[in-house]
Amino acid sequence: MSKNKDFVIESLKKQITDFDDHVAVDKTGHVVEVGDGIAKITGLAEVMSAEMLDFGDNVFGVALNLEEDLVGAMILGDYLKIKEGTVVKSTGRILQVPVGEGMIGRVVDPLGAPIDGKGKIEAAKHYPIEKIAPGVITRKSVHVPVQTGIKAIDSMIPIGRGQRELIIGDRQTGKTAIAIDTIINQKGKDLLCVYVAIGQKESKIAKIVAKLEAEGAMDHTIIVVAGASMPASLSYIAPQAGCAMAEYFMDQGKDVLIVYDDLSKHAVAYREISLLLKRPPGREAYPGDVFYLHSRLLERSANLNEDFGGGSITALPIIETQAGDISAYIPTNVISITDGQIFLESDLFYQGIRPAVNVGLSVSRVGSSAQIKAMKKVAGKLRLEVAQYRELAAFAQFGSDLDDATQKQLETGKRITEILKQGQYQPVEVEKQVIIIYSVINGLLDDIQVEKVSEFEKGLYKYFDNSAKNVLLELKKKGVMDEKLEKDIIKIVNEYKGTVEEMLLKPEKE
Amino acid sequence: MKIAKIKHYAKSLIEIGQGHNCFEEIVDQLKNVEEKLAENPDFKKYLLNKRVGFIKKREALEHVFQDFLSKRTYNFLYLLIKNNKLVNLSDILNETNKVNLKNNKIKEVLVESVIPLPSEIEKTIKKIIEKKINSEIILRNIINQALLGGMKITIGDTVIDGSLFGKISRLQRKMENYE
Repeated sequence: MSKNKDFVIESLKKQITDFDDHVAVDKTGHVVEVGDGIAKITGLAEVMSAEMLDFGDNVFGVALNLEEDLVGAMILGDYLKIKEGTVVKSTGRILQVPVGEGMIGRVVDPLGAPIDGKGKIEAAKHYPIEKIAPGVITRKSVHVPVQTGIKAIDSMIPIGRGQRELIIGDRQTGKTAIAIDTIINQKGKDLLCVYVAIGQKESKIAKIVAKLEAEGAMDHTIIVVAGASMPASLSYIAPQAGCAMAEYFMDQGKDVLIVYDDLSKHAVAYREISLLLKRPPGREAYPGDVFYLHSRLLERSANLNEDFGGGSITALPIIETQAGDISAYIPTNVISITDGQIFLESDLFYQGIRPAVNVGLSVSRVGSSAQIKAMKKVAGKLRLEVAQYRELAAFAQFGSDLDDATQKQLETGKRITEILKQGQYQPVEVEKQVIIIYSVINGLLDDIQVEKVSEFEKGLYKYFDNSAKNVLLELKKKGVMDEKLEKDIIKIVNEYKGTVEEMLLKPEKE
Repeated sequence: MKIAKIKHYAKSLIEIGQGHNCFEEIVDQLKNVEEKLAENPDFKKYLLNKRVGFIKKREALEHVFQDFLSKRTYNFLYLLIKNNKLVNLSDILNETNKVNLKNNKIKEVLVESVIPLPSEIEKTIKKIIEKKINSEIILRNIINQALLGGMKITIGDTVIDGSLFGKISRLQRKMENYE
């Protein structure tokens, strides 16, 4: 105890003796108006746009509107502490957030301060939250895949490192689930993740953090939280702050995945700030630069070439639509900015097709260049099969007699639909994805009862793990599907079918 | 009222004053009026009352100030009354003062200290600042006990804080952030 006291006294003494203070010179202004997270300030000559302002009492703000006599600033934090006449100091710095390895595994607010109660974060550096996106010569085309672990996405809507793939859908269609599954699937791989929660319910965030911790996925993840109870200004800077944290790792040559959940709330927060600052409203009352806001944010995702470190940021922005209306203002904006979208539909969700990906409307403009060769081979056929099945299924509903070929195609289609269903938090490795998709499109599963397909799938994975590990390893190592492998797979699948005969084989009709 | 509008009044006041070489006269008279109004809140209230007609207000004003005010000063006051801007008289005068100093390239410097500054020190400070910012200044000394010691100099938007209070608060901040 006394040792502890001595230490405290010593440390205080040291601080006081070390305190070397010069006269402080500050540029100041005075608050003339304050309210709703916005302050109007006189003075502050030579203040920069987006400069951090010190309101005292540990309250900071950002200068946004520079007018003739007034500076309009948004307040980060508690604006009730600020009164008319409060002295505001300019800091001479653009708003920055701490970045570095110390952030990994932590839950922070948009200013980089920890909110998980695990103590102070040692920041390696500070990065400005706004940064010009990497230019043309620094970039390289996207060619390395991001494995989401979700069969429907990895096979038909592949995402590459450096790509921006929008996840769009109504509320309660599993948008966040896809992002979280992707983060969980990066466990033990070389992709760091940043999850930015914008205007989300704190309970939802707590659930996500607990799940990621339980799955051991926090070891490669940073969570940036601007909760629903935080001021709009923090929601507004959250994605940029998260992106700055990701950029630090990209500059180190690492690959980062960043999830913005969700950008519609970000746009709403920006609308609130803009309207309070009396910027003129445009369509749906959003300010005129809301497109630019999102485009410059998403443009910061890039795949850098080796000369510039070879790092990458892959962005998964999320947009929530109202009643499936993807032609609203913000959804169309973000669709046009991103390199493709994963479209989730509540109809499919309620039919039990989860993830509820609408394969027809979902695209990835990077396409197959970001797939391993084996997946590319099987996936090309898969897309076609799915499309044909959709068409046929519509006709088959009329109930007329169908010829054998059509019947067969329908049966395969049903099984493909079953295979593409996947539970939450159950990512599948790409090798296994290749095997199951190969099996289903080649009709190997046609003699299995449709209801039993998912059970069969799980058993098959186990079987491969236990008795055919070499096939998985070879597929993983080579990434190519050659004839020998194909034969092996067919052999093992048939072998496995033999062991589950009584349960899974379809009873012969008549 | 918006600062921009106050600026318009201040600017026109200066232009008229300089055009007819009676700027100081008008400003002095207006300051006088402002003081008198502050001393007699009832009269001020009467002048600000929107239900009272302009002619009555004019008569009252003329009755009170007689010919202590020049015609231009009267006209300016009438304009303010007509535009319901009499409330902002002190703001307008402040702004006028500021703009006038700016036009003459004179800067106002505020020196806050705990005790009144001895005149030699005041002169030295004036000299140093004038050299530093390269313009003429008017120095005003304000007594502020809260500073505890040292002084705080305000030049426009720039604050040079050499007070004991400022130092202690910076030390406080440093210790709070110490790990």
